[in-house]
Amino acid sequence: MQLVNPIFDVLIISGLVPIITTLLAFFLKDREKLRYLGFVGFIGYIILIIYILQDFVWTNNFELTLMDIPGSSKLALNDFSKFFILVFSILALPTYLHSINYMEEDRNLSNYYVLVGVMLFGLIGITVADDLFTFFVFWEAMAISSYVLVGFRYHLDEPLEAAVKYIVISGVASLILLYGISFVYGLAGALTIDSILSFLGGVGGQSIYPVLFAASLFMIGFGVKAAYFPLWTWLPDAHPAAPSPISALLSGIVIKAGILGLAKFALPFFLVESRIFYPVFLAITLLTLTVANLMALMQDDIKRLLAYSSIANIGFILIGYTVAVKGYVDIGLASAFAHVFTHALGKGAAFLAVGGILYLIHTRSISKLEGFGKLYPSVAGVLMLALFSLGGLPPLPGFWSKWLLIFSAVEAGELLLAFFGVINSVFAVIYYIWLFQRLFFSEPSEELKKSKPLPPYLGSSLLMIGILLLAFGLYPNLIYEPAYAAASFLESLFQTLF
Amino acid sequence: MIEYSLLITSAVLVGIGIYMASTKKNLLKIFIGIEILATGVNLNFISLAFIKYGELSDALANSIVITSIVIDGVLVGVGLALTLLVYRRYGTLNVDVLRKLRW
Amino acid sequence: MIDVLANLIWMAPFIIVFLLPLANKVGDRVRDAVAVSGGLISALASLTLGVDAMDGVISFGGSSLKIPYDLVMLKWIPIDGYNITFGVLLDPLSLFMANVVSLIGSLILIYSVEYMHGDKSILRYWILMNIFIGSMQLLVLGDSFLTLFFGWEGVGFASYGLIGYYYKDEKKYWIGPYPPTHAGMKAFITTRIGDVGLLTAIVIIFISSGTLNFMELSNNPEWAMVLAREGVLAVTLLLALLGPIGKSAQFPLHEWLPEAMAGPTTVSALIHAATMVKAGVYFLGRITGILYNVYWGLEEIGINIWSELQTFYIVVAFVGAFTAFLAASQGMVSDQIKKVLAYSTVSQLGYMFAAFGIAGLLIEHPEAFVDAYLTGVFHLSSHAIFKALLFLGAGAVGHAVESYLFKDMGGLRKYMPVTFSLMMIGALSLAGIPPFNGFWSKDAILHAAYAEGPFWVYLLLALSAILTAFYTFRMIGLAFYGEESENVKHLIEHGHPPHDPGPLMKIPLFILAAGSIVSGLLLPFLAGYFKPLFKFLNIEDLVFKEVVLFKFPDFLIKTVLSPLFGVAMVLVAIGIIPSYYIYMVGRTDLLKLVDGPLKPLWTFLYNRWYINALYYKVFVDGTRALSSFIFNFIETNGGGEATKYLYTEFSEQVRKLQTGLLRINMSYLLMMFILITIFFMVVI
Repeated sequence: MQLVNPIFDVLIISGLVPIITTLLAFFLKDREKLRYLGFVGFIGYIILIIYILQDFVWTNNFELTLMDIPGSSKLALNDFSKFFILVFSILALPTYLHSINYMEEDRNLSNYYVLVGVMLFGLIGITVADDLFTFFVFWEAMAISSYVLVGFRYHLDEPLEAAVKYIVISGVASLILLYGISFVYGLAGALTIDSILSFLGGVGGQSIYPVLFAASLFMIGFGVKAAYFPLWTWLPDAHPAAPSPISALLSGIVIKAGILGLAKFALPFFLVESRIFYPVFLAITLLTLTVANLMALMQDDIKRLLAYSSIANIGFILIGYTVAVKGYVDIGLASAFAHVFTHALGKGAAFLAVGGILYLIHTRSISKLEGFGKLYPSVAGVLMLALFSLGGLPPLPGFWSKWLLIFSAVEAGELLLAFFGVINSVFAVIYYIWLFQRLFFSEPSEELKKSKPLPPYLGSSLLMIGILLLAFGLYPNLIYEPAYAAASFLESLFQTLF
Repeated sequence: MIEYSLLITSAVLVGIGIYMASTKKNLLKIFIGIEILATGVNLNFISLAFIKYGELSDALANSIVITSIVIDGVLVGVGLALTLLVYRRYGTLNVDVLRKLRW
Repeated sequence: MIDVLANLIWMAPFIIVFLLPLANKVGDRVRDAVAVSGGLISALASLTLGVDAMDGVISFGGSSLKIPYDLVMLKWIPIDGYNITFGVLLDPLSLFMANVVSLIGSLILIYSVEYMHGDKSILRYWILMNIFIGSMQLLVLGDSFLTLFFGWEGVGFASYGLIGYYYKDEKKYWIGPYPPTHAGMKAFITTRIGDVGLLTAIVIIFISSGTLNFMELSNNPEWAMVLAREGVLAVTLLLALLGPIGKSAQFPLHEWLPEAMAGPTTVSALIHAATMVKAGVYFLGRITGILYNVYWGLEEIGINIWSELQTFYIVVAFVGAFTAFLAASQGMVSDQIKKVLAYSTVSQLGYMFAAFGIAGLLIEHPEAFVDAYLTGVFHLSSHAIFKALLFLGAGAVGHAVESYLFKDMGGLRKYMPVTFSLMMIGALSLAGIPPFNGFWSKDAILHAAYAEGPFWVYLLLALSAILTAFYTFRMIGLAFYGEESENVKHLIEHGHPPHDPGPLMKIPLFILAAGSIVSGLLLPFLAGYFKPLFKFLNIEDLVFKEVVLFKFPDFLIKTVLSPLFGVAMVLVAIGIIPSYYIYMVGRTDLLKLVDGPLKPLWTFLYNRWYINALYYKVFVDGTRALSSFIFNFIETNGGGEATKYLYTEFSEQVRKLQTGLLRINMSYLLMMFILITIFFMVVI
């Protein structure tokens, strides 16, 4: 079934979500009912998932040139886009459900749902954008709505501060990215991925300063979004400060937009200059992994701990990416993408579960949460599943993707990376297990009392993501196959560079 | 030679923008810096179009620049709104008062 | 459909693991039912596939496939030259093992419902038991070394948890000087030593072949050629053998098993009969099957790797035969009923190892090879049945007299007639008396050893047969005959005379006893069943049924009329008669022998040939000395502070990177830019 064209359909479905939300918000005057706006997005993204998975769309690749200006604006729905659309939409579902309960006390609920809708629309947009111009427009749509969402509870200190820092750092980074795009425009004359690739194919392995310059600008522009070393500084502020469903989205998928950009638009540059960029990424990966894990170790704020662990996981994804920069595009990216997926699930689940904790207990301090697991075993159970998946314990999804990453590093002869990967996953397990132990094995303190029951939508969102974690853990091929398809699509795309 | 002077001008603007955004304490000045950075980037597009095609109005460059100006407007708009909130809350525009989130 | 069913065999227990916490909320009965259903579903699935596979083709739900068949679930990194799969292999060996594991496992689970009734942390018990069975199924069904290793480690983990089940270390659960947690740790560490060797071997095989898949290893024998050319084939195989030696508690890694019954008796039954220790034997069977195909595959292209294989199988046969003797000798003096059974397990596993060793030595003669091979598999299955029976019976006895020491038993025949008679069947089977299954399988091994193996293997095994008969009847005699002990009298006085267990515990016992009687006639069936495992076998393409009709009487006649039958009977008699006179009739009189001339021997055997003490002296005390050395001289004096810094202080310092100042944060961005620029300047 298709409406106009599969590419447009995808954009229409996700674009209609904020539009319908806005329209409905006019009719729903009752503040109590506003929270049910969350269902618009929930239904919309269910439709999107079904749409993507239908046979005709799933098995074919589509392309579409938008404007009349040659080589300027192009959309494509291919294996790569479909993988990321799936990742984004799958995490969107429980987030919307979770928001219904979690945000019920907030002001401006209609704004909230519209902004979430726009952010997801931007994310879906960057997956289908096949040129840097369109990409940038969607990128900014995603970025700006995420700034506002971080500062959504602006009457509090923390979100306000985080939003200011986020917007300054990320805004500058976006402009640096645009600066890089301008050089690509100057070099290639057009911005579609095809013209970039044909230009780079003509470079022939010689180091040209403008190319290097553009590539390093990309590295910073995308790097701030992806939050690797040393560009992570906004992340541990912004992610904990946002409302928990937004934290889940930010940590789960928004930072993956940076990875997407790196993989699709920046990787050709790095591949051409592989000799130079490979050691750079090696260093970045090792530093990101180690520093982030060290920083996470002593956190008392549970959301901040998870935020640091997001950075560490970006480090894990960079293992695959570094392998790809070295030239092993398909295995490197396949394992990196698999980890994108599993980390989105795991971190999404963790933040949603923490959202449940915040809703019930109103504290983020781990030392005050001791024994929480005994009061609310279901919430803590999902948190446990998520943490175990992030820590890479079988049979949860995180285990498979970490295994793949380490394997891909070994395959590429990167024993150092593999070694650091193993060491760091052990290291990460330390603080996950430590957190788990304090939540479950300690006796609940006096002030920690079971105050209210788990609300229905929040509970069902946790149940949903818990089931997803288990299901993907038991059938890891559901992750690996689309991830591999996405990676091999990119490899065949970049074939001209080798 | 004119084309390179254009490039250098835009590079200088970008440099000033990043410098301001990085070092200024006043939030307003930071956002002014971001605006300067944006201007520099936009100028870079135009100058590269000029170098590439010998005219200042390449359709692609123009459309990007126009879009980018709109986006910068939104970005700075949101930024200024946050600045206003900071001022209301702390009574100052000094960004150093925002030091609660660390470690 | 077949793939769903095949996966269900190993997945069902794992799925149950996740359902159990929920079921626990509903109620005790539901929880127990759910827990048992894990084993039952697995048993049902494996039985369906296993029985169907008898004619070499599995058909179910409209589709059919020819075994051996590899159901690949997951292909890692599909690059040319490297092939790592995660999947389920359906072939005679795996299906046979899956049936043994799940059927025995289910019976033990049913038994546990009553046996473990009222235990405080029974949820943990059920979860670990299901993980245990599921991992074992994954192990036997795995289509590659990788999958096998997953199951292998799962089994190790579950056994550690279950052996140390009574983690509070109450005095009554101690085995000799060792508390349960210690026993669990001992099992874990000892088997881990073997795992290191196994893992090394797996890596070597992977490097030489590019695959870990059993089918591919068996079909493409070049990897063995490469290894043989480098002269490391035997070394690799011996390294791999360390894994089974550890898991199956063979000499020199046999010392963990006697303590491994520190957990609930059901756990011991599961470990001894169906899961843990059989993993090693299964592995040996698997690798022997592969090596057979590899040998003949290479022979076809004119390469002979006999000398390397011979080295390997001589070691296997020796380890097996020696362990059989070693453990049987120790079983004669043990003072605990479960410990006797543990020694007997080690000893019987030695028989299986010896069988596979003999098979391997016969690799050049396909028919004889398959005969010897099947005796190993056969003994595995009969041992699983009678050992489960004996252990569960011992559990019933222990349940009744609240102790596992012989000195607390005696004269139980009158109070527990059903248990007694059922255990007697198990004992007769273990001792090797026809027509029980233990006789057929053990006799087949002795037969193979005599006819085709080295003579010393036969000698050791025959001696062990005498000892086995002796300690088996000693065990029965001490427990069920003679005077009631103080403990039993005490129980009777307090109105709790020892009694037979309830129906849920009795039914599995009856089923196992029936199995002990019937399954002795299984061997001829196996020949047809296992045919697809071996290529290069020139048996006429007989349909399965004809094999049975053709071979069955032949087998019976061959066994009974052979002079070895008489020898075997004499051996058993030599063992039983003194045992009968000492423990069943005389009981105390002849025991004075032990205090007199036989005292040194008794001490020697009771202290397990001092091997255990040696290990403790060298490894435990040695490690402790080393660690205290490290603690005293490296950690506390200087190094300790560094470690502390590494974990906390360093982390505290690194955290300061996040200053919270926007300017500093932005400067990282600039710093990155500058660093990259400098780097470019340097590189270009």
